[in-house]
Amino acid sequence: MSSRELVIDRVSLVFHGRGDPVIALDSASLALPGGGFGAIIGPSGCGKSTLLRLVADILRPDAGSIRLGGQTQRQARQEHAIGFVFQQPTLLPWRSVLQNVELPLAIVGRRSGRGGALSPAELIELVGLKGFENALPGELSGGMQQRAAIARALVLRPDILLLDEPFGALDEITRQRMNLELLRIWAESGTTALLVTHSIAEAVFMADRVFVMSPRPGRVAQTVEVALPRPRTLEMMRSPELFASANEVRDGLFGRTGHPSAVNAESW
Amino acid sequence: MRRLWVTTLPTLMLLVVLEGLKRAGALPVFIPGPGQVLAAAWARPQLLWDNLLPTAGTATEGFVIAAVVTLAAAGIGTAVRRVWGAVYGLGVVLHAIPVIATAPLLALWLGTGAGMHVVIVALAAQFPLLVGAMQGLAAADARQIEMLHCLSASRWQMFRYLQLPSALPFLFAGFKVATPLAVLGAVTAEWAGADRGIGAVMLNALFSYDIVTVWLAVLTCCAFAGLAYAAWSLIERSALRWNRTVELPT
Ligand SMILES: Nc1ncnc2c1ncn2[C@@H]1O[C@H](COP(=O)(O)OP(=O)(O)OP(=O)(O)O)[C@@H](O)[C@H]1O
Ligand SMILES: [Mg+2]
Repeated sequence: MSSRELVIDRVSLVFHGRGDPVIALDSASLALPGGGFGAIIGPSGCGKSTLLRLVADILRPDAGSIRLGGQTQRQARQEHAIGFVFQQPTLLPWRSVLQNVELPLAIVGRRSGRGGALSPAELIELVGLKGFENALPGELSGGMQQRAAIARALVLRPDILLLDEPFGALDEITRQRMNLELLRIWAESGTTALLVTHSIAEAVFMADRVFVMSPRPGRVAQTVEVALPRPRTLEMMRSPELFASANEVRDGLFGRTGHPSAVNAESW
Repeated sequence: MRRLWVTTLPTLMLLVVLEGLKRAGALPVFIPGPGQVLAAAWARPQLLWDNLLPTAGTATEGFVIAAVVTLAAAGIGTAVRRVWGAVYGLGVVLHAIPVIATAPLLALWLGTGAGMHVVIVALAAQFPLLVGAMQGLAAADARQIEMLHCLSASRWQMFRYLQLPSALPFLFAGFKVATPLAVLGAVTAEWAGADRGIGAVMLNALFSYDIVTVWLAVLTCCAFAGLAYAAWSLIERSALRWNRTVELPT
């Protein structure tokens, strides 16, 4: 089994920084079946990155629970089951592209990923960085750095892949190509994927399930099921099904919906 | 090569100006011309070698010990945040001790042997090394820490893959500041008691009003510290190539 069901159940988190405490998440819930593709969309500052960092066990929730294939987030992290593409590329500037992609392997002490995983060189080719293996991150554009970070997140063939606006720095054409590549990798690997995006069209095109978040306090206000078949093709961008789902997401974002309350995880 | 010229030209020009002034009779008798000093060095090369080597040896030994101890202290200060301030405080206090006054006291405790010399060098050089190590180990990017945490990196891996490389620019800054201090510390230690070394030569020459030899010793110290500094710059340039990918318009 190389995918895990993701269940986030009424998770809350308050930041106690300088000044007043910030309620970043208040009883946020979502559920994504194993091997599913979910998208999170919501206004800036509503807690999308925070939610992903909770799933990756970078932050601890104040309340609520998270389960990845029945395990806690800590167990999943310690089994190297989580791949994370951060909002910024976070490559190590003193390592070449190849060395950055190999870093997770060095940390788990293996020469290659688990069975069926692509090699670092293959992943670099996949994200379109062939020829830049020996370049340093400082010599790459922002979009190229982010693609290297995607290759790094895939090298251990994670059961669950968290993507925090991975294509924000890319132009429309590269972005579209990367989206299709990502869908192909996801379908082949059977990993569970959760993508944060600011684009309604991208969310609906990529995901089976779109989670619309509302701000202050951050929570999952609505879940939209996307009825498009797989594999997704660019022609579907113009299909009525996609249009209907996109409108549903838009209504969720701008509050013209009859049921704005958070979706309970148990209802799945 | 051009860089070498740019770095050494001001020093060379200063020496030429001094020589000119001396020949014109504009310098007092207690400042010899660089030519005289050079001639003295030429006449007695053995004196130079026999005394530079022990001083260089003590300076290097004390420097290495100080570097290892301060790096370990900074590691503890970074790992246990509660003692961070205490480590810094100890470094400041040790640095504030006037070595010139404590050297004779240390000579009483430890004798005038190599041990005392090394301790004084380490005391003289420790603070910039400590600051470099402390700031360097704390310089790791918070997002990179999260990235490695997400990979379940061990403490050691976090140190090896992130904290140590991020610390390098700071460590090199510390090395460069501490290098002349270590040489100075070695000379001071030799003043407190030694029969060989640049410091001993300096002291003997001072007592016998041998002005040229005093200056020979002084310039030897400068040359040695300058060479050591140049060596650090070269190592830094090759170790930190990643750190200079930004190209500013010139
Ligand atoms: N380390 C922190 N300390 C204090 N407050 C924080 C911290 N991180 C995030 N916050 C706050 O939590 C809230 C949610 O932040 P988060 O980064 O999750 O937003 P986001 O939905 O990812 O926004 P964006 O779309 O702009 O990336 C924000 O109000 C932010 O100010
Ligand atoms: Mg964010």
